[in-house]
Amino acid sequence: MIARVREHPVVWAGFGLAAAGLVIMLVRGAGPDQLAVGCAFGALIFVGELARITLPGDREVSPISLAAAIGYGLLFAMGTTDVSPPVLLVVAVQGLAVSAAALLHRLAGRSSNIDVLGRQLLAVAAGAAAFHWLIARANLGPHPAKSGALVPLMVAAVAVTGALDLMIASADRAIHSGTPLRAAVRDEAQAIASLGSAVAATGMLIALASNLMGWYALPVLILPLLTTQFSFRRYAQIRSTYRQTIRALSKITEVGGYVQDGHSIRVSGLAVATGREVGLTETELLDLEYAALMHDIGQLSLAEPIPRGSTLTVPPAERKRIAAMGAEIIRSSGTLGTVAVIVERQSDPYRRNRRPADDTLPVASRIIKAASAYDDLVSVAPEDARCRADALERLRLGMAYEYDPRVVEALARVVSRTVSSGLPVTALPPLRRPI
Amino acid sequence: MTALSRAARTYVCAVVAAGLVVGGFALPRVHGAWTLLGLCAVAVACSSLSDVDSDVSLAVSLGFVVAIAAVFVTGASGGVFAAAAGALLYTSGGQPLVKRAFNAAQYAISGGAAGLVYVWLDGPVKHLDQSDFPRVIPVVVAVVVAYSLVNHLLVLGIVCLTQPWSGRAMWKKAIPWTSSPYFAYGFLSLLMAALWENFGPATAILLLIPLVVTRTTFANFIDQRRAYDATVAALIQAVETKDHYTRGHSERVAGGSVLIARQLGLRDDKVQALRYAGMLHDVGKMGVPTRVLQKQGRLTVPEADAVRSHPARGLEMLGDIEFLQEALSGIYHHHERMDGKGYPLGLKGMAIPEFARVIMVADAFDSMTSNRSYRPAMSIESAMDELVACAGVQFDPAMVEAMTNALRTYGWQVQGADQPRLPLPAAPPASADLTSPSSDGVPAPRKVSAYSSVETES
Repeated sequence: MIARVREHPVVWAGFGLAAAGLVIMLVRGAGPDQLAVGCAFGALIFVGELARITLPGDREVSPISLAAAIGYGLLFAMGTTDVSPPVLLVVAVQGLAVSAAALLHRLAGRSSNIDVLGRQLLAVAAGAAAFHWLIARANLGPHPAKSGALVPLMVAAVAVTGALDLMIASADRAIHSGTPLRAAVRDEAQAIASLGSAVAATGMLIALASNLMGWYALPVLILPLLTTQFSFRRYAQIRSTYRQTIRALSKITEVGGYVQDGHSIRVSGLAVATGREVGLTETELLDLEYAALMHDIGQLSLAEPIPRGSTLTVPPAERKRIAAMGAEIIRSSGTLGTVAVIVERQSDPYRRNRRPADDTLPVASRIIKAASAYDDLVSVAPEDARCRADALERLRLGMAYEYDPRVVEALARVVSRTVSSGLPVTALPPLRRPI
Repeated sequence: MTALSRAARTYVCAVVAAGLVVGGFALPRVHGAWTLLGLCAVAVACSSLSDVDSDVSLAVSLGFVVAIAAVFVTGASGGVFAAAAGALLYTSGGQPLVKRAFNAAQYAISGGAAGLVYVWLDGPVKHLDQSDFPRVIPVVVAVVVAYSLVNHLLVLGIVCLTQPWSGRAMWKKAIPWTSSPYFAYGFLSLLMAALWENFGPATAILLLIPLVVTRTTFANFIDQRRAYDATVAALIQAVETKDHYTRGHSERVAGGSVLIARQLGLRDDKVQALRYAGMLHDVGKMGVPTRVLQKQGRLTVPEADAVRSHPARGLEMLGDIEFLQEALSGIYHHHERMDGKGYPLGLKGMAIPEFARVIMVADAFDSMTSNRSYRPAMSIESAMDELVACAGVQFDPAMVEAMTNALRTYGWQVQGADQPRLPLPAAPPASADLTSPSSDGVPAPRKVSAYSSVETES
């Protein structure tokens, strides 16, 4: 409901009109230079926003738009004319351009994430404000636009932008996906570090080069960023294809009658939710997801499928052999080594009799063991609350010996959450969109 | 490098000698030795960054940007050294010395040429500002043209002498995509020079960050694509363990489909899609009971229905993979026949999707040339004859022709997951031994006489 209101075209039109009013108010009397520069940067931000891409982990980014906004905030002179836009004007121009692009996206049937746009607006404004604050206090000599001392000030300002953006993005992710904040910060930093540095560098260069080359700076600097964006798009595409393919091929065991329909997808949904609950990072979650999708692939080496496909009824030695065969298949790809280890060790108990817990047992293996067992146990009557309670009870009885208590508790929390929200576990998307 | 022919060796020696002459000529004319040293250091650092497999056209050489910038900052002599430094001191790739010397020399000559053009056009752009502007544009373009023209010609020479492709084919292949982005990057060099002089080296290096990020991302992309291919191959092999007669079948069908696709001159992305379609065309067989797949003799009606359901099952499994959308039609229809007697829909003639018509031929050819539980493998020649005999009835004649032509040119060998990008002529002649698992010492598979129509895989 809230999402629908937030994404309504009228909202974007309203934002756009407000920003446009602000722009007109600020530009009036500021001279034709300020107006021309504002229009140029606004257009660039607008176009960049239209050409946005989605990175792995459902991260909407628009590198060109952001670089242009950063450059505008740090602008000092355009060729021989001094043009230093006030912070409020930067916010207004960026807001106007971004809202217009979002409106266009919306009319074409694509939604825009208002959180992301707002966050970028805030981060750029903070960076520009920091830059102006620093300039007012630094002594840059008679020709500030040509002074090398501008550079460290710009770096500091961009650092403010980056830090603020990272903080808000991590908090947003922590709140919306239930990832612990520390893991969220690490994930965001890792996901955005390389593209972010390219954007930040281009932003600073736009401001610096505008001093030297005037208008020519914009096309010259946008081109390399365009190729950067293109390379990231290709990368995101192959990542998403990879994931879709593993999901599709995980059905091999079901089509072959080895396991029950939907088992792999259900187990992977439950496993990823549990993994997030115990604070795994995004990379670990991806490995966990792949391992969960393929955890039964070792059964392909069996001559005859196990009755009902549940490995719970199979003796431990046989279970271990199936897991090892599965790991062998995955390992034969020559990649996905971590995934193979996770699959290989999924049958190992958390702790053997009278021995301390095995530290080398990957958390992902423990999660898959519990999630797979849970799915087998509830498969009799998935809609029945009694059955679910019994299944959790059986996992708890095996706690501290067969299953990791921390994992079982996390899984129980995930199950109770999904039940109270009325969604089946399968409806839990492992991550918000293809990663 | 012992394999170099006499002509090639002479050529390399001549280029290296010319490079040395250019270097010797330029050395006393260097202005701003420290600046040049700094630029050379940057060039070396750039060249040591991971070299991206450049089937991706936008992975423009970072060294190029630095070399042209050196021309702008330090004049003609600077370009010679900055261009050569990266190639000469690039050690991490384990390139043989000859190759490094040749590359350094040809870069030095290219850099020198760029520098001469720059000086000739009266271009010193010290302390660039906006008033220089429309004037420097033709200078930059000319410098870039000089550099890349000389660079391409010198490289083309060695390629013609060592590779069997014709120079014209290479030229056509190399020029369109390598030269167009270079112009834009020439302006980046100009900016780098201007930043270096006005704000110091640090800002100039800032300019390389987006380029480096692009490069590493392309490298990541290529890694992921390789991992993806390997994973698909591994999973398909796991499926094939169900029926040991079909081991390797999917990869060979993928290889055969690629052969046909290249012969037809399809676009690169289509060739890739066809490869995946070939790879995955039988994945729906997983839903057919093993005993039916391995049954010798006539299938009962329900058994035959189970077999005939496999294209639909494949479609069902793979339907969610977005980039396979075109390939899906190939998977779903790969058992149609031109005369309309195939399944699942009984499509006729050109109503059958192109991908399916390709896969049908590759599939049939591989089935005929592999051992089956009910018959041994056919020889390549008889399988080709059989394809020709069934063209028009069962197969699209155009595809059959493409397949037979490709087989005559490149032969039939085990097609691994890594397809050569260009049809390398290193393939054995068409009579080469087959992929069939007939390791029982039978020299030539017997020809099976009664083939009323070619059976395809199933």
